[in-house]
Amino acid sequence: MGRYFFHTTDGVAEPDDVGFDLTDDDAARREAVRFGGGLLNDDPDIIRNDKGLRIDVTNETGRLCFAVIILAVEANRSDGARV
Amino acid sequence: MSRGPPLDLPATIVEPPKSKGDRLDIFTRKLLSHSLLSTVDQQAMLSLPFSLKLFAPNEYILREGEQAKFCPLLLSGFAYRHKLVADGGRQIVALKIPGDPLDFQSLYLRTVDHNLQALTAVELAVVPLAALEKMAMERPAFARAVIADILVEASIGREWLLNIGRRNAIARLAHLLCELVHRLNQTALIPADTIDIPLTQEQLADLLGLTPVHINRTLKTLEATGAVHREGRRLRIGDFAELCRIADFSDLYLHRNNVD
Repeated sequence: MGRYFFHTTDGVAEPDDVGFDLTDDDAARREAVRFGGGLLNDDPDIIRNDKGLRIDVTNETGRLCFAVIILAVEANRSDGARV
Repeated sequence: MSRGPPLDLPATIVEPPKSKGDRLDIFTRKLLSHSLLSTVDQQAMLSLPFSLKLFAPNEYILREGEQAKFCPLLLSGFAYRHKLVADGGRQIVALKIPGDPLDFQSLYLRTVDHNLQALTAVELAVVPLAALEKMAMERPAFARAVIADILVEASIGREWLLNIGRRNAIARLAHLLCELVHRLNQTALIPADTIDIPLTQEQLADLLGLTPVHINRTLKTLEATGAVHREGRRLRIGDFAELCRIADFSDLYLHRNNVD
């Protein structure tokens, strides 16, 4: 059991200073994915920026455990840039 | 007084002296919020036999599959109905506040179909179903009020389905809080700005179908609007009008004008 913090960035950074207690890193990863799913469900336009939606999960020591990154990529950009 | 559970053990039922009957005032007020009852009917309700029971936070009051013989009336504190899936996932399907009868359903249905748990410390007046049934047979206005109460709970359930199925996180949370303010104000006579919302982040998540982390983020967003504020772990209403605006709240489904 440990406390994990879920920091989001979707154009603006929103650090999490409360966190949530979860059994292990695997549980925290699943929580991050569900959380991201909830944010997307709430507002599909949340990833209408170059960097998309990013959820950084840190543990009590402040170490980054993993990040969940959700991007929408335009297939045919008018400026011809390749993705 | 005794400490619960379970309700199916023989409870000491006493004919209440007059002062004890006053404890049922809040229950009478709840039924009067949607139904007309004569003073004679109200007096009869106040003299229902009951035993007073205390439950600690998180204690089970009723469990799915049981056959109830008593109907608990919530005198103080909060309780909730919930259902579980095989992997332990929990959905809170109803929130009960002081004044609410907790199991009118068992007057007409044999088996309890969900779990009922104390959210905070609660005081219950535990009334034998037989006494309620007798009163419903003898007093049509009371029988009508019982049905109206069940119907209003069903209406709240429909609104919750809409809330969880179709509103975004901030409107969903705001809507729940608006409902609580309306209900607490009406029956328990608690003004909006003194209401302590006793739900934890995790309980709000299980009620609103969001993850606890999402609840935390949504609370922060809501707090930034001034609609709510947090004092430590306590959640309080800041700007009720703003909260209603965010929730797009209409109290029609609470049927507050049913007796006008």
